[in-house]
Amino acid sequence: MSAPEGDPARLWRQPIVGIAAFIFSEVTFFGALIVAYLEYRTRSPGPGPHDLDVPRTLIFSLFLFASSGTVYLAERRLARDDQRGFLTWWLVSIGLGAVFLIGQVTEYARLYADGVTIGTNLFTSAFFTLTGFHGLHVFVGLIALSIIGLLGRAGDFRGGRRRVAVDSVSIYWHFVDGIWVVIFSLVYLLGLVS
Amino acid sequence: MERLPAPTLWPATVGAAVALIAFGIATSLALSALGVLLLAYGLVGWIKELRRG
Repeated sequence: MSAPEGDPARLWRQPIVGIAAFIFSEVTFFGALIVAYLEYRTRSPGPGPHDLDVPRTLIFSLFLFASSGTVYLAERRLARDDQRGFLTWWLVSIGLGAVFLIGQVTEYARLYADGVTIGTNLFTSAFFTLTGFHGLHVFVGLIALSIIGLLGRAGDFRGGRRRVAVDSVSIYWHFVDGIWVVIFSLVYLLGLVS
Repeated sequence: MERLPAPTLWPATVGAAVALIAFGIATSLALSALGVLLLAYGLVGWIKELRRG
């Protein structure tokens, strides 16, 4: 049954409702991981938030935050049917996201080399689980961004066609970015002050 | 009236692939590798179908 004239629900396209529902469920999921992290972060001796390299992670985080901005710029170009501009900024976004992921992987490698592993204590279990699942979301997001990039290169979004696909992936990417603001604040910045 | 999408097995294929990847992490990475291949197959098939529609 379609919404009547004047009903705001008419503005909600099916894929957008779908991605919104998915994000709501992911917020719940990350909420549980965040609560677990906050509960366990200082519960056991050994490695803790003080062992994290905050300045280094901040630099890599800036790459991720910038990628949200470049996704927005890409969407604006697409709105003007500027395919070249859209693809350029979209590719930049993928590159920035990949840099963030490389930063996270190298951080994990450094911690593991120092003997700080997921099974070391309660802090490490919660830390690696929370940031690891976020990293997994970034990885899935990069795959989705790449697929949209390939479809864009094939001309699928010319003249405003299939725009909702780009919107859906953009919303997901902004969510991944936004949740990292929360995670970075609670895991890294909170570790500096407490 | 909203047009419903036609029945399709591709979402289930992608879901099964993700499940296989996760299961393989806990058991054998060979299963995860199989899951990755199935995921690629499912994604290509699903996107092709969406583009045709």
